[in-house]
Amino acid sequence: MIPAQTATELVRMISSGETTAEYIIGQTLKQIEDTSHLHAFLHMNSNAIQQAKEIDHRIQRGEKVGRLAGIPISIKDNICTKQYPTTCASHMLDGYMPPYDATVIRRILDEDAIIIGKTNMDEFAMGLSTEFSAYGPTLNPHNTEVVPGGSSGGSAVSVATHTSAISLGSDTGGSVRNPASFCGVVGFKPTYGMISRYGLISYANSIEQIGPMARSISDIQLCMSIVSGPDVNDNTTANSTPVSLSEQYNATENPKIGIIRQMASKDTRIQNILNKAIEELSSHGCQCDEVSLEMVDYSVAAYYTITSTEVASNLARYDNIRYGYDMDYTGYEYHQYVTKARARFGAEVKRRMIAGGFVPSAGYAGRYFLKALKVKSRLTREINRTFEEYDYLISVTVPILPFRIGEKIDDPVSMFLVDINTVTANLTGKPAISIPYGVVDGLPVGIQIMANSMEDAKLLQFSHILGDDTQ
Amino acid sequence: MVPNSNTCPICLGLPGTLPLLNSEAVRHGVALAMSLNCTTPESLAFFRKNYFYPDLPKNYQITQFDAYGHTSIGGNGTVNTDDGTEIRIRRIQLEEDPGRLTYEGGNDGRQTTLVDYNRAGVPLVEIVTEPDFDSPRQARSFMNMLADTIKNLDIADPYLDGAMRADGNVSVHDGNKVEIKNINSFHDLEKALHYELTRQNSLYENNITIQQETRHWDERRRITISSRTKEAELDYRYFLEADIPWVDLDDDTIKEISANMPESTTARRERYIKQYNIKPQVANVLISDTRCCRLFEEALTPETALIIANILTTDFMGVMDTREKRAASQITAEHLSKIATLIKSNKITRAVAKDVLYKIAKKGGDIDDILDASSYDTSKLYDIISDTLQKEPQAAHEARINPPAINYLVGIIMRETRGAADPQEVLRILGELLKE
Amino acid sequence: MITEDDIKQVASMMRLDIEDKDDYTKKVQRMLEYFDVLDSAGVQDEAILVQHINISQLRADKHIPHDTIQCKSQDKRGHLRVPRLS
Repeated sequence: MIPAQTATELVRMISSGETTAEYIIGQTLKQIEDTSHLHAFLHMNSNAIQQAKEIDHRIQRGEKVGRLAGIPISIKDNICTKQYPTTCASHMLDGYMPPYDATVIRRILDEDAIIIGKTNMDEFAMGLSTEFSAYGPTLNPHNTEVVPGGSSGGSAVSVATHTSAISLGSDTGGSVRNPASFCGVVGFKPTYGMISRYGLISYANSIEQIGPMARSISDIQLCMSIVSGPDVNDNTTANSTPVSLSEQYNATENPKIGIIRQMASKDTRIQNILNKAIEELSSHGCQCDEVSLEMVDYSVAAYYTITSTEVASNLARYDNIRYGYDMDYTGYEYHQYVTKARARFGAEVKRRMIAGGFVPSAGYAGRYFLKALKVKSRLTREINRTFEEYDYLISVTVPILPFRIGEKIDDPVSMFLVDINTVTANLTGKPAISIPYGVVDGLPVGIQIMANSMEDAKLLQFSHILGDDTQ
Repeated sequence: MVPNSNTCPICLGLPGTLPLLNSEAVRHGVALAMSLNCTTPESLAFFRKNYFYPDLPKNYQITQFDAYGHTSIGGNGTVNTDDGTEIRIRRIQLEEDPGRLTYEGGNDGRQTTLVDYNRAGVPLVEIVTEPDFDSPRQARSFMNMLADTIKNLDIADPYLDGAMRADGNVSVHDGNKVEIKNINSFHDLEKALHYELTRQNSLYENNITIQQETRHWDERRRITISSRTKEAELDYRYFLEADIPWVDLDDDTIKEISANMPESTTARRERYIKQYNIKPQVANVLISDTRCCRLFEEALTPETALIIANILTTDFMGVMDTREKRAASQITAEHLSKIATLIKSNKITRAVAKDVLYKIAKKGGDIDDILDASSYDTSKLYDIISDTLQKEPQAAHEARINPPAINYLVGIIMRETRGAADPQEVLRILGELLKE
Repeated sequence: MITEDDIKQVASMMRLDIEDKDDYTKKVQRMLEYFDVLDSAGVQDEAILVQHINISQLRADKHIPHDTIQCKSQDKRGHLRVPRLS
């Protein structure tokens, strides 16, 4: 039996003794073997069965167990885990073992989750197809000739193929929502500062968030109630209110939904799915109107300007001096050595760092980086004004279908435009969910809903309208 | 401390770590900015200064940079050094200290570089002045004033090795500016600036253009040497550090910090002049050393304040002429108070007081014991020596014009005292009396 | 327009060795050209929005002990040994 149940269901079954953690983990490991051709995982937990047995013993002894007891959870390989390698799918960090656990890892382990393995991704999260992994691409389970999306491609595939009930990915410009949409699972990007980034290896730290992926919205809520909220190790979380499961958020009666004009898809098959979603929302009493966010047209350029700048700085620390791989110093001068050691970065990573060397530098500062910050600020003000009138904003998550492997790999800009609907939530810090809603040519299509900052819990609760019966 | 024994994932900049700003560092920085009469911003912003260097664990330094208005912890201040020169403060910025580099087999970096990250990530303030110094001496005097302010605020120990470091910018005859880095002590600052001035002046006199460059102070060889970094290569690509949100310094915060600040040295000077009738020149000297101020305030009574101020500034600071000597001295407030009372009641002379003070400062001890033991040496010795000088005018004259001849007089006095006197003491008093 | 020399200079600043300069020049050029759209956004006067925090929310001045972290290439005395500086 493939453990196809949601995490919420599995928790109930394991803690009531209906099944055992050992059985569920055993089935999960078997499924991982059966789907290994998809290349969702980079490193496995070889103690998973042992850990499951310990949880079963505690349950049999009547001890209290955590809210994720025995649940297989996969972790994107850019989140630090003390017990398992953390490589960001880069040869630069081959075999790197962090000496500490990320805050999210501590929080899920405190609730007795079982980390089943670390998932594949685009190198240092730069990409949206998982083709840029230094260890080879991940394949889409719905059609192995197309990409699974990215950069959290391994996480999405793992959830879609039931090799984990929940996965923690990271979303810098759509990296959770895009693969969720391409693989037919739920993906959530919380408000900036809602989940601690302590232990998330930075790509573009001013806009990214860790985000959960799962097969149901309830599972996302369960996970958020455990990992969200302030953390002393991340100053940007200081003002966040954790998502609570017990609290009922007073849902607005007849909420107003804005359909973002700039995010319409040119593919009518995809646009039809959005229309279907709008019909369903209307039938639940929602009032849906078209809205315009002018700055969306500049959002992708602003996004890549900011991320290039930040990544050039965030990845400077990989000089192979304090940690890294074996490479003899003999005969090298310091700068030569560092340059030689950094040759292990992949081409896409190098390209973005070089672009990042241009945009904030003295000669180009006013030209790119500052303008990008201003676009980001204007877009934020624009969306804040829209949320004064509308409760939620809706669009498709990605305006195109999953593309063929290799199709866009050579043109950075055509790749950028795939992000058009997702980067707005990152630039403005808003929470956004992608819910699987319909299929075109056998490939899943996701609907994205955004809410105002710190309304994560409200958004998740509302999303059930579109999410409950589409499993 | 063993190198790299006191680090954590954050100070090593390990993947996934985030910087955590210390609230006390902000409070201390604001207090320092206010003490140097600087303005403080509405909110503090932090920037990344990007460059590759082995002492930087992240290959960028978190610092401040006034790119979007005034956001560094202090700006536009003025202070006076003890000789009355006004020095303008351009900016104070709060930043993280890099690690410490040493070189094995030579100080020029040609050999293996050794790195210790123990101090990496420690909060640091950089204070940038306007080009207001006319001499190396003035720069040192500014550093002394700064050290004293820091000591007075109790925000750091400025005398700890490497706690206060300086980079100096030097130019002559409107020529190019040379920055000297790596100066680790006040003494070396003066030396390095002096060396650099001499170097530039000699280039100027020989019509050689002075290159705009960065030079390093070589402590061992006591010269500045050109760094091989090419200026053109340096593009720090400053941009906002998003991991530290902007820290609001609202009125309440500023008020709270200001309420917890000790009295400023200027306010203290005014108070000494008004309350104790101390001469402004004496007050200037006294406030230049926080330790002396503390001794003064603990020892004084309304009757003895003036005497103590004079003893401290002339006798004590005269014999203990450097901060390091004073810091090591054994003088306590009780000693001072007792000596002042003895002087006030005419039990001892100022000369004896000075002598006692000198001995206590060196070795500590009880005043009565020292007076008993030295009653022969000092008060009697003075009499014996002046008698001897009167009896031996020819020998006194010779000793004045030919210093080695003094030994003849020492011999006579040692015979007079049957060898009980301390020859060093005899020499000292002789020297003093011969000058009269 | 950026030249191969510009790319070389920036790559060296980033401590990156690039083999195929022509390909990098083309692709980075395309990225920068795409960023030019920012010029027409009309945001010159926009004030920058940033996250704020209160001083009381910052970390307290307390030592947080941590197990000793072993770095690569530490010598017996504990120093990290790094290649000579030019």
